[in-house]
Amino acid sequence: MKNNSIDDGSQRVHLRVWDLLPWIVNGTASDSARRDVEAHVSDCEHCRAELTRQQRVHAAMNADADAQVALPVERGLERLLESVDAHEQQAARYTRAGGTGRSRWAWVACGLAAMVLLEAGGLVGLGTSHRNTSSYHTLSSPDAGLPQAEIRLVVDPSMTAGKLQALLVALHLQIVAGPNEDGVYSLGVIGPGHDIEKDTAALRAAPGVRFVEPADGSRNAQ
Amino acid sequence: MKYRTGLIQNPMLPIIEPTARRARPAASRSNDAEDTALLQRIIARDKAALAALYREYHRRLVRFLVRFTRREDLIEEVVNDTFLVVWQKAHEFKAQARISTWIMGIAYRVTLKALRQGHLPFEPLETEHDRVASEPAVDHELIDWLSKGLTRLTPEQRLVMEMAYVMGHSLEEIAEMTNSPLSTVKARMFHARVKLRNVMPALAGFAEDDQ
Repeated sequence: MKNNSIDDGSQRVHLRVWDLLPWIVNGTASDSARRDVEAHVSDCEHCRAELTRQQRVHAAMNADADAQVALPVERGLERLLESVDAHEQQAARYTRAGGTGRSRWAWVACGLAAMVLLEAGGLVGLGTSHRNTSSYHTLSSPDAGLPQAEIRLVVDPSMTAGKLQALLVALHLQIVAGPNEDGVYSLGVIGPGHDIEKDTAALRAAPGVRFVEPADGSRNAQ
Repeated sequence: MKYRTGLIQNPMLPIIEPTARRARPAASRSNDAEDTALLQRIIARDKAALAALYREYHRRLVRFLVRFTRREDLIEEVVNDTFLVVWQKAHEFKAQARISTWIMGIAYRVTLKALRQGHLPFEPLETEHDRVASEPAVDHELIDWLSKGLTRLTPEQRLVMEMAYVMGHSLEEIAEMTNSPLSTVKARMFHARVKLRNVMPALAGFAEDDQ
């Protein structure tokens, strides 16, 4: 047992040194690691051979890396800016199509929406298989169908799924559609006696809400 | 290349070459304050700031990517995909990180995806040896072996090896860039070295030749 322990300990030292060698070779290891390795390889032929091997691999890879291609930076930049413009135009088209807000919030809102729906028990459609698959709603939706979209909403990434859910429940609102590509939710009201202007004002006053507007009541959004 | 060592000129150096300490690589020499200011402007949708950051990091990313393919169109595509993510995700940058590390992390993920999808075919340049012929101590046979052997590694193993040996990043930096634990980075490097040794007889034997 004693000999095994010694062997295990010795083995651990070899492995530790082996792990450190790449960062000794590239010059980023700490001073203490460097001292440890130096002390070990002065007595250990195998680890010294591995150090030499890695030094030569490092040197060979860097010699090869000097074979640069001359890639014109300004040409690449021009194409990058074209891509950025294309993405922005695409986002603007989505905005004109019924949403608003900047595209970077859209993806965050999409994720939040998915979390809200999952927290509520899963994507609806359970038992409503004939619904339009692009129309998401919660399990709290009445069987008779979704209410009309009355409000459009975009939330901030700082708002958690739980906070969004709590906000909507407190105002007797529910997600009836969305988020669309811009992250816009369409909200419907639960129960009678709602004043959309007041609901809108309450949402605007809530932390984490980036945008609220009354929806066009003549059509269901999304 | 400030972070290259003098090992090519003297491959017979004893144990640990004292001057092998890394001069801080370009990634670390960047002016963090300037990069931070540029990123703030990018968050405010300033394309001139995006252009400035692009110019600053272009050479570094090309040096990294040319190790995987010589096709300029593919290299440019990966560089631009990286900066498109920078433009779109600038607001997600965490202040405690270095911007250079964050950008290299994005480049890592874009490159990894391209490698997994087979979009970066390696095509060695015929003129490589001509370009390095002025360095007589360079082991051309080893370079040839390595250019083939590295393609036998998994994309993750290859990337860790390139990030350490060519880009000069520390273990901690690579862990942050790859969003991996230190142990994972060590394991990838370990397996990469073992695999290279197994597929490269020249590599298995030359160290002993030096003894």
